[in-house]
Amino acid sequence: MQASRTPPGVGVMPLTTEPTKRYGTPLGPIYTIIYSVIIFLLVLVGIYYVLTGKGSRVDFGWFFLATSPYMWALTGVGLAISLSVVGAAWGIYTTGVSINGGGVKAPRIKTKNLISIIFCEAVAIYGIIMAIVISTNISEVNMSTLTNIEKIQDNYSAGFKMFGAGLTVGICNLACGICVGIVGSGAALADAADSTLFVKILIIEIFGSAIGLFGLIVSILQTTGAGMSSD
Amino acid sequence: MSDLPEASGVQPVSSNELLEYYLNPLMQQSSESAVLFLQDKLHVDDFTKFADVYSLDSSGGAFKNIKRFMEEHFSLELPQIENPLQAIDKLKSSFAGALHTATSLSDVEKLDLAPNKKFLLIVELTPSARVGDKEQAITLNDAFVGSICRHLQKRGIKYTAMFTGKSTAENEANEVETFSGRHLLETAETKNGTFMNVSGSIFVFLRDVTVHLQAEDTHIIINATVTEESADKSDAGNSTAIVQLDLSGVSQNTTGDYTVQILFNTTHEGDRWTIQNILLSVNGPASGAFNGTLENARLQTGDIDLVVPILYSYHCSSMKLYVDNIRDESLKSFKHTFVELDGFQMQPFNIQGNAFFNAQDCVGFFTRGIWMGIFTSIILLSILMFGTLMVLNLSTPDRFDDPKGKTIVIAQTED
Repeated sequence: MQASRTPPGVGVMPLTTEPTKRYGTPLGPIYTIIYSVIIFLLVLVGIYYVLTGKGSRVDFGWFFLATSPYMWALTGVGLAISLSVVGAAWGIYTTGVSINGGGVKAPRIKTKNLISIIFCEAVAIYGIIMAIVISTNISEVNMSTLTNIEKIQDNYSAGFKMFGAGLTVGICNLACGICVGIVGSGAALADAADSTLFVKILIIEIFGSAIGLFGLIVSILQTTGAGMSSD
Repeated sequence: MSDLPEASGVQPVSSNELLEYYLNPLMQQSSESAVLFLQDKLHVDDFTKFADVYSLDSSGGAFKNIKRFMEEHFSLELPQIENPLQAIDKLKSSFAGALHTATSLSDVEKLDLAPNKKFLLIVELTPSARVGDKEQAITLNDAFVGSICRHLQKRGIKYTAMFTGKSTAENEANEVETFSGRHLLETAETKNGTFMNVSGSIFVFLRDVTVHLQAEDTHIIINATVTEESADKSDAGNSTAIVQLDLSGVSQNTTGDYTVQILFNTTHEGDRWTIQNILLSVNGPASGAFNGTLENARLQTGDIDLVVPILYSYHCSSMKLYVDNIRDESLKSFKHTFVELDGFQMQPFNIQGNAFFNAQDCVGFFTRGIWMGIFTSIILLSILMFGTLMVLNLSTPDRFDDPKGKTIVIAQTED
């Protein structure tokens, strides 16, 4: 999962990239076996249910209504902040590594390229803002004493909306962070080679940063109607 | 007494061994009588706790007199005996001389004990429960033992004394020899259920109905009987069906007959049928705060999934339905009233082949809590998995590694 941009074999010395001795069990086949077993079991259970006429027992509607709306809401809040932070962190580490490396030979790039870091950090800020905004909609309701069907539906839909909002902003910011990070890393190295390139490359970064903002806007639209209330 | 076998603490001495190896040899020595001091509960731990065993020159703590007697004369300690009472009973029955029992010193003084006549004296010591504190009881009994022994000494009687308990600790069951046997033919009686067939279009199966009626402070338990005609007033239809169970019941704490009616309103739309609501009516003699009628009380169905796929029957092994006093304010006085249906199965629509079809059970595969836990666990475990994979992919910089080049030598500098 590391972004490796330099082709192997190019460098000061020709090196073997594979270790000369492989020991232990190889990981690739193990992952394949685990995934296949899990998928096989799921398919087997599914086919059993379908072929014995019990397909209706696999009831997702019951699952969505039986699980508490708080699980969905709080998972949404958690995903909002955590996925955004993952994106920001990934971006910062990608850019930061390049700035550190390029800054050895061209120290002038240090200050200008902090803009890339700031773009990545903004993604994390979007995440925490949305987490706080989403969590303000959560309030304590005793679902078992509600009698008004409208209120019950509102509470359930609030839970799902908050989950959707959190997931939206989280995944958008994750992608945005990675994008800005890789572009920023390239910008730092280009700037180190030729300082006129930086401003043009910054435009690419701005486009990349806009997609995080899109996620934020859509997430706000999703949470506007969400409200938990009792009778 | 020196020829008696030593007992190890590991294997408890069984009552037969006690009789054979210890008591009988003692009794057979000609001129010695025996005095048995029976404490109700005695355990080795009592000696550890109350006999002051950890100081070098202790006098025996609560067991002062007993310790002194054991040290001054021949003594033998048997740490674990199984069921000494049995051995003592056998000894009592086979004893040749006089048999006396006593509970206090005055009883012993009244006894006619001659030095040359063999006798067996059984002294019952005060139970520790009567005194309260175990240590106090032991101290009292020890003083009592001391006084009796001194009294017998004064009379010049040669005797062997035995201090034992009837059972060990408080919470250990007595070893009672009974043969419980195998009760193969006596199985728990399972009540058979009643199958009700309403004109071939509604099938109901029910084993038992109990109504716990709670009106303010009055608590009436009604056991209703289910007959094959109980569901006869049900109304079958294509899109709605009302399953009506009319049961008569008696209560344990009041006299008179009660009629219990349970109504299931079911509707059938498309590919499913639903139990919309369940109503309870109870009529009977008034008693206490219950005025005799409970009319059409809605029952709370809460968590139960009452939407059943078409062709399926609904089954619930034990269905406990409380009165819905949240949605129906008029039932507040009947709070905590519930009906318990045992072994209930119902199919009001689309009966095929004159039998119940597959049942949807009120107990699901996983509970909602398990599903919520699985969902959250999957999220967290996938986070862990991705994190671990990323960390495993980290590598140290190896661009400038040259396995065949010079190794770096860092000179040691004097600091």
